[in-house]
Amino acid sequence: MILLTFAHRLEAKAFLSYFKDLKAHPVYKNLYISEKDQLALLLSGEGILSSATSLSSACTLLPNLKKVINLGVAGALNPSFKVGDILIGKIAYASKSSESKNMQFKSFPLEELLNEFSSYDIVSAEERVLNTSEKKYLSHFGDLVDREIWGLAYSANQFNIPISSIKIISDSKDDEEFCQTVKDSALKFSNDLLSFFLEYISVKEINVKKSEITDFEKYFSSHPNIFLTTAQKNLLRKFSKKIKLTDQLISETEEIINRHIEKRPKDISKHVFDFFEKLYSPTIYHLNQVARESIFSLNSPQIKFSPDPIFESPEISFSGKLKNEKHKDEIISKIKCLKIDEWSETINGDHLV
Amino acid sequence: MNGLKPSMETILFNKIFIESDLIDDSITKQILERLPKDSEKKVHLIDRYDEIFGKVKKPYLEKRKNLNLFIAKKKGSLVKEAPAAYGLGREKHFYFINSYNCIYECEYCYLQGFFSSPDIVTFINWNEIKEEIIKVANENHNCWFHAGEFSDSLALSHITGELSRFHQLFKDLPHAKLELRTKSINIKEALTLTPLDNVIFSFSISTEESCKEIDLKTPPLKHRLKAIKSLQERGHTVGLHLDPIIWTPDWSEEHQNLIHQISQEIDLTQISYLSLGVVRFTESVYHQFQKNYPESTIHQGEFKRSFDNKVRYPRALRQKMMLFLRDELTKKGVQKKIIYDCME
Repeated sequence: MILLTFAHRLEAKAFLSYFKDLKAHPVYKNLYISEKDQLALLLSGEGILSSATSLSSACTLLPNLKKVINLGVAGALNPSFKVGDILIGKIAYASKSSESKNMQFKSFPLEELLNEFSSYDIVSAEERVLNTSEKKYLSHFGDLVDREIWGLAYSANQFNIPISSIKIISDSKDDEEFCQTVKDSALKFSNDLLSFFLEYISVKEINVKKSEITDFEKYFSSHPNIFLTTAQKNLLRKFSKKIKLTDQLISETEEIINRHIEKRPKDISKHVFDFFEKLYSPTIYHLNQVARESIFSLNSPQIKFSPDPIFESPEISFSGKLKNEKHKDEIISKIKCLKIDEWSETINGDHLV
Repeated sequence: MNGLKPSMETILFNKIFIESDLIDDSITKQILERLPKDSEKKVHLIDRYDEIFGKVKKPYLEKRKNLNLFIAKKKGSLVKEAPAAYGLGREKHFYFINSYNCIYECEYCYLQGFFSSPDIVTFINWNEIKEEIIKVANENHNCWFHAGEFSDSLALSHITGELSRFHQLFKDLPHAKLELRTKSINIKEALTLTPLDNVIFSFSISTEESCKEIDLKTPPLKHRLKAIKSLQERGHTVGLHLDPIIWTPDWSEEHQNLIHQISQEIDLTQISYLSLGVVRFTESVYHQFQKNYPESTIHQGEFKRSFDNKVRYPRALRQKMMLFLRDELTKKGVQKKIIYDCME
């Protein structure tokens, strides 16, 4: 589902008339939903706080939300923009108070909407009407000024939902009668935004956007002979960033599975994951194996050896318990068995293939 | 230097912020003259650069299309002591801060997590920086100074005009050394300067594959090697940094080729020092790198949190790679004593 957000009803008017199936939510009256079109519309109210809180509420009510598109008016901070220009947002910034030259540090990149258009930075202002010096200060950070995109982006970011913005210029950089102009032309701006939206945006396409799961992840998470714990599912995602699903990988993995086919799926997955671990991190895998064979194999109830857990230092630490002379001899013999120089060479990469 | 022009000869800045009290400064005027003709229209006068730079988080990749320039005065400490394991020998190392950020876009660059903006800041209060360098040099005989800790030392020098100022200063400071570290081939001015034993042009060099795929917007390897050769022929002292060394499935072959290419072009017996450094990230830079370059070939490597909390390859792999490179370099005539490991 796609959610369109507007600060005011007047800005949304053309959309509310065009998408006839939009029905007001039974409880949250500023939210309209059309199941048929997989579209929703939110009247977020003006200002950063109002837009952030209303989008957060909408996100919790729309579990299948795939994208948020903010539409509405904005003031120009860039002198080359004319009233009526429609522009795509690039990054959302916000002022805390432009009078005291105080900005919100956080910024939010907005998702690119249309490659064929340039995109511009938007500053959400704390105050509604700006004087020339405030506009000048904000123009150092952005090309447009609005009242809500930063708040919306803040919320969308919390819910990990991509957000884009389409703005129509309602006042030029030197305009002083900002609010009046907007009110008079609001319906025209709304119609222009709708025309632009219908011409360039495909709601259907956004709703069927491809999933980000890799072929590797898909193949092994649905393999009938493997059972994955939640931790292993997370590991699989980590592995999928580096290991690609190739014919060779499939045949090698299937061979491992077949070798252990009599075992429980849970145990088979352990063998498969051991193989992935070797592919993902061959050096650490090698060091773990050497440590197992030459260090951990010497461990007994009397003494425990442990190499540096991140394999950065060749030092081996040990702890032990002594109850009698026999234990002392055992500990001494174990320490004598330890090949410290060989381990040091291993840590320095000498036996690495 | 026929055919070896800076790769970004015409830098297009979106906005040029100048601190109001520097507008009449001769260096400001010089910089504006050297920028493209319409640059004056892009000038925004501001009180202080830090009222804008660093006030908001400007995404690093904005440097591709929306890069601003700040002409400013550096306040606070102008010369800082460099971290341990910075150079060869036991001399003290310092860096001075003449600018922030870089026009290049190396995927592993620590600047992506260091500043909250990729915009370029050039500090033009040279007289103050100079005084501080002289003071530190007099207190620490034979110490080193590095320009370009937060920027490339030469990439924008044709605009900032810094190189001749650095050269003049270190001509008068024979008891201190200056390292100008770069990936640029912007050496036109350097070739007109009298070589000084204590001014070293040092080049970061990576494999041909790395220069192409990872050191985005930087000059190709063969151009860098030609630039080094020209400086050597002019009599300048040159250092090399094989840093960062990046693992790929064919890393040994690629680095063997690199060393072969270097030895074909450069007189390796005349290199003043050569450092080896395996790719490393602080945790915050690693986070930014993952975000900015999710498809980078660097991800093929095995990264782990290391002894100093930096993210690196495991020690076994690092040591193996560095040993291999040391062997290959010594085979080509590089003296062992001039090779050092950087940040290990």
